[in-house]
Amino acid sequence: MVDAMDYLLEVKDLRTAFKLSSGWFPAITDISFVLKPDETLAFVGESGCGKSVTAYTLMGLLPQHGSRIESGSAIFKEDDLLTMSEEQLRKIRGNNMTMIFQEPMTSLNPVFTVGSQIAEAAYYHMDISKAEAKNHALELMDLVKIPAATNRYDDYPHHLSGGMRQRIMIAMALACEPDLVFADEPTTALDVTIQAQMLYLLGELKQKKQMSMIFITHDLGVVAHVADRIAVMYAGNIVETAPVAELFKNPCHPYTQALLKSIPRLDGKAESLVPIKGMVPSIDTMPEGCRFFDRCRNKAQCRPDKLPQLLPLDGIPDHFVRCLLVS
Amino acid sequence: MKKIDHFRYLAGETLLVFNRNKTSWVGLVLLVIILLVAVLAPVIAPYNPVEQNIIQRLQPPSSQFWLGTDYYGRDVLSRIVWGSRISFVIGVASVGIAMFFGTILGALAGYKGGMFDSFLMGLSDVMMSIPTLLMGLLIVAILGPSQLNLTIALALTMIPRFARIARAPTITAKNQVYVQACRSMGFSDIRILVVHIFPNILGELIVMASMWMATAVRMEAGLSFIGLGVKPPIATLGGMIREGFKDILTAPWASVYPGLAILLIVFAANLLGDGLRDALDPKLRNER
Repeated sequence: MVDAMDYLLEVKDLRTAFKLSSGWFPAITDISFVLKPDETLAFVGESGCGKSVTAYTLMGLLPQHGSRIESGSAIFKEDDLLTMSEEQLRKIRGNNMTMIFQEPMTSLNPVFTVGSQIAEAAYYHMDISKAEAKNHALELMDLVKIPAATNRYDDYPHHLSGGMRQRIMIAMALACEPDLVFADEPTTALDVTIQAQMLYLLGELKQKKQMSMIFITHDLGVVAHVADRIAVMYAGNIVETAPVAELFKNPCHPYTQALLKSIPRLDGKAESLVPIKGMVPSIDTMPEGCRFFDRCRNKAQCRPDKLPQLLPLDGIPDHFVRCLLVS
Repeated sequence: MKKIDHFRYLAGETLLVFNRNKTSWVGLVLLVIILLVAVLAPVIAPYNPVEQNIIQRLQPPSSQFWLGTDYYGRDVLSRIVWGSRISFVIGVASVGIAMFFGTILGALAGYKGGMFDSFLMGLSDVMMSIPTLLMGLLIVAILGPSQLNLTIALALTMIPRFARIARAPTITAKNQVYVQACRSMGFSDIRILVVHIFPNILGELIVMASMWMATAVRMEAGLSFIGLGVKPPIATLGGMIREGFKDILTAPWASVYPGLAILLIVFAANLLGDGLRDALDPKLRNER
């Protein structure tokens, strides 16, 4: 390639607010990250921490009323996703970036056959005939390992199981060979064995198709399988980001540490789980300083009024932490 | 292009299922018969529907007058045959017009939301707060009484109702993940509305349309009665009920039979509507 891009996506200082009855409140603030080509970045955090909002903001899929992007830039290839026209963004969606949704039961249109829905995505964006689109859809159905794709082509969504529908959803997302796929908890609604198959499939497809992925999940176990890098989110902020191995080996933010302690381990040692006490602050009562302060086990040594920044760790340039006590 | 293919495909599937559904066939056959009767009225009707025959007035049904005669001695059967022509045309046309514009407005309001939605729904609330008959009366009074203006008036009173009916399922569909998925694949708003949402709300619209047919026929009767629609002595089903009503105890045939005719039209429309709704819903289609 002539112009070797360093980053596929470069997000800086993103801030999205939602309207409540008492005014506008930011759901995510100061979100900055980069994504290299072919890289998988996982956003991890509990419900409501802003991981999906981040993805929806970048995709331009926020509700038209009651939400607004207050600041930031998101350079995708060469253009800013946040300032381009709706028309431009629409062309990028589907062609260059797509999304896999959490709910396989409702993410397909009930009145069309699954095959035609995959073919439609291809026909709409690529310059091909309908017959070619159908062949393309059948190939994709093979690719996502749907058995007897030709027989399934004319099935309606309600004929298929959740796992099969999620495969169809993935096939739709891949129809136009996107560079970037947002996967919004694609395995959460599936049972554990199907989850494992799906993660395996996604990893394999990523290899074959050479695409970047932003993987959103609350399951750290899932992350270890698929991601190259992890960004841990808490209350609308990224609190720590590092390559997967580094993060699991050397978690620095107290929230990450607590998160790792609160998941059960299967490798023998039967330690009791340590829950994180307290609640996430709601978006209209966000503290001015560190947002994790109230729940932090180190709060005796810390101060509540100062807002920590996301800074690189000494000696490990790829590892960023947002904590006053870590240097 | 693709849009049309989708509909052709959908139409093929629908016809297939429709074929299997017996009750919807009954509805369709009934409607075709009614349509034929309406079209062939001059041939079928045994007597002139407006010719008065005072000597033969209020005759009970007999071999000479199959359904009896009314207060002025006119043949009830002939008047029903001619009246169904006008009532049927007005009912179908006004509901059709109302469904077309109401659906467009309602679906747009539901999909766009915000100020546009609030304005349109506020307007339709204002229109619906006026009783339908009064509203129809007002519009006919402005446009002047004629069969066409009556149809337009009926359509206008029903447009806000269809807008409401189209809006609610559009909002439901809009918040479904599959619409988000469509947006994530970069489909345009119009494509999402026409290709993806419309087939999902069509079932509800068709059922409502078949029900509003009854109201349209009834309202036509009301407006005709006060002289703002089709003027007597021209026969309409609603007008016949009103005229025959004063003799209902002594000569029930003059008002009961036209009532049965309205019932038949509405019944046929409902059967057809139900059948179409089932045929359009893939979940109710028989397994292959």
